[in-house]
Amino acid sequence: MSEALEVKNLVKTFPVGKKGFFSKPAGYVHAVDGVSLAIKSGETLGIVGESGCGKSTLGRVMTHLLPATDGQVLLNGVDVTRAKGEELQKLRRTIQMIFQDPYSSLNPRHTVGRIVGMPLVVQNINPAQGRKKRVQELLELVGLNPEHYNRYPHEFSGGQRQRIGIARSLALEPKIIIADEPVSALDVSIQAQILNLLQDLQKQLDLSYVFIAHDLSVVKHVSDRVAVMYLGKIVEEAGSEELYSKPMHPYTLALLSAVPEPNPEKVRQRILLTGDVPSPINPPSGCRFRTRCWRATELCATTEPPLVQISTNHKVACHFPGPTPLPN
Amino acid sequence: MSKNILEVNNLSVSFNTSDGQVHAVDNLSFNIKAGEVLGIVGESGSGKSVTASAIMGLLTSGNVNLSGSIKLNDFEIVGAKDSEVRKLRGSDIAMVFQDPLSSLNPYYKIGVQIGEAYETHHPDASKAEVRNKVIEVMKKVGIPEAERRIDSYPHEFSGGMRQRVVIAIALINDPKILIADEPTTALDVTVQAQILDLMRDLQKTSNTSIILITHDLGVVAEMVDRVLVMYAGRAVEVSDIKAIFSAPIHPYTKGLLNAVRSLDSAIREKLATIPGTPPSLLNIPQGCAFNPRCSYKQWAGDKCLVQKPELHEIGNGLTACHLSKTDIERMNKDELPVV
Ligand SMILES: Nc1ncnc2c1ncn2[C@@H]1O[C@H](COP(=O)(O)OP(=O)(O)OP(=O)(O)O)[C@@H](O)[C@H]1O
Ligand SMILES: Nc1ncnc2c1ncn2[C@@H]1O[C@H](COP(=O)(O)OP(=O)(O)OP(=O)(O)O)[C@@H](O)[C@H]1O
Ligand code: SF4
Ligand SMILES: [Mg+2]
Ligand SMILES: [Mg+2]
Repeated sequence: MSEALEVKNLVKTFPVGKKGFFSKPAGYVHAVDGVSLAIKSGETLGIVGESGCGKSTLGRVMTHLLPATDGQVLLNGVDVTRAKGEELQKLRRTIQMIFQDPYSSLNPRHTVGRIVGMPLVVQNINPAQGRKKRVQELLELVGLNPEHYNRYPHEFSGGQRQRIGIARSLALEPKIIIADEPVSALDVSIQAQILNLLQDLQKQLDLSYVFIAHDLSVVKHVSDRVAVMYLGKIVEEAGSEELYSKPMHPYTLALLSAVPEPNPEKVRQRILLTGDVPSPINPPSGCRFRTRCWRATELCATTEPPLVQISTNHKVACHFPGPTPLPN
Repeated sequence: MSKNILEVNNLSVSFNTSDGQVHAVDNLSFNIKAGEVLGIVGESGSGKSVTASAIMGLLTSGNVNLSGSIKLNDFEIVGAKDSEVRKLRGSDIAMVFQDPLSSLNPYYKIGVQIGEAYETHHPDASKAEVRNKVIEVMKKVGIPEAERRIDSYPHEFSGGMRQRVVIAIALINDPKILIADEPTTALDVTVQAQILDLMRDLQKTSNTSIILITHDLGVVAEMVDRVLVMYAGRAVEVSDIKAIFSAPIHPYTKGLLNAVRSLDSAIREKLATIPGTPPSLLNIPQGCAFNPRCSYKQWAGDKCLVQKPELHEIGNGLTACHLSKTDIERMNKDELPVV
């Protein structure tokens, strides 16, 4: 398997507190801070992590919806970090994004047909069966009624809107799909349909997915590998089975322990994280998780733990990795 | 637990659209007691959010047809003057919307937006009092550096942070009923656990009733006392939390629970789904709305195709299904063959 998409030392910062156009910003949000990842063709990489840790920003930089501040994006080994014009158009066809927010990602003034068909128009593609027919096929593919072609987004429920977004992302038959919370707005039976659909499409079209989600059971289900992010950095990365059965980073342990159990009789031992979520404007020194970590020592405050390989399929960035001991 | 604080009776909501009438809510009845947490689950598009909007008195646009009754402490919301409903909204009854983006105004600082919710119901409050209250509630929902971030704009916050702002707005007036529509969907599970704790505290200390709308059955299992299951605008089941997970009394609920994954599920196995697609609300199937997708309907004869099942008691729960009690028990033991 070749590396379909690779990012190296990717950095994305946002200026904050700028008073005027020419004035210096008061600081920077370090949304993505030196992330390296590779996705092979046909593979699914799951990304999980704290709200605000930079998952969506990473996805947007990977798809060129946002320019990288520093680092590289490689597509099939070719550096496309600063792609423009023709090259960018081609890139857009290859990599598509499914968005987190089914509301703001659909233009309320456009019909569903127009929204789903828009990529075809922008890229000037005329499918053999005609654009309308193709759009109706796409609607059917994601479980929407093709008769809804002329309806507007506000006439759909949250879940239905998310399916419109998925149909749109499939219009150009991309090779790589960055799916940012693609099913969180759906009921579980429709989630199951969409997840099965995404897996079928993956097999048929040899698609690669970057699958960003808060639902750890969904991520486990779809991913070959999973990366865990905290405050702009990857803190752990491993094969799916490995990560869920042998988590090593304290943040991963806390995350897994917080998953609600769909069984009222079963109570899981929770690791409650204390302390505030640190600000990405002023991240803590050393290990970024240390302010909330029960294993932190002086070393963690002074030295940043690098992401190191601890076995063939497992990397972790922690001075004291391991599944135990848990905090009281 | 005592008196019903909210009573919804025969609520129906439809929308006139260019394609015809969309029947979003059909003859829905339920109630909630003070301090109770009621979960609403169901199909995407089954009318959960529309029900919430109706309770909030927000369905006032010209294309809406609304009938039935929604009583909040004996105050009838259906047909009430907008000025009267506005007094309740944000004080007695508050809502956290599904969509964190559009419930915040991108042009105002978040501190202003949270403060506004307080000022509306406390017109005499001083600037300093409002600011203190805002910072207090921001801290309560876990927004770091509240003193500094009070002057941020919504776009400077991640999805999860924005949702905390929205929750802060809902909580600032200590409401009696909080309607939370997918309040934690945008949050990571550790923050979700904190927000759920926060809501639980609120319910315990202030006896706030909570209507929790969510697709996450793990959250339901942890949070709620009773569950209302909706399908195509109708209530199909109302059961206690333990009963619904161990012995659901409607085929749709059964299908929904089959589709649930947990952390113990295997990687990449095909997930169980409910066959077919959700019905068009322009054209709800005759009889039981679930019948085209139901794997058990042959056990109830032809009734399912022609007669709308009414909500009736089975054991401690309510179901809108034509199956007999015995057949439902067999369904739960997986002894009722499916087609
Ligand atoms: N345009 C922007 N200007 C300033 N800050 C931004 C901007 N966009 C994102 N950020 C900040 O960058 C950080 C990362 O945000 P991002 O949306 O990528 O997080 P996320 O991991 O996707 O979070 P969530 O799980 O809540 O969706 C956050 O602190 C956010 O506030
Ligand atoms: N203003 C409107 N005009 C026309 N139809 C509408 C309008 N608002 C909602 N609907 C329709 O009413 C139905 C119920 O929508 P609602 O948002 O209540 O679903 P929901 O149960 O909350 O779904 P989800 O779980 O996906 O959020 C949907 O089919 C939707 O398309
Ligand atoms: S009424 Fe009939 S069709 Fe509807 S759920 Fe019950 S058995 Fe199935
Ligand atoms: Mg995000
Ligand atoms: Mg909804």
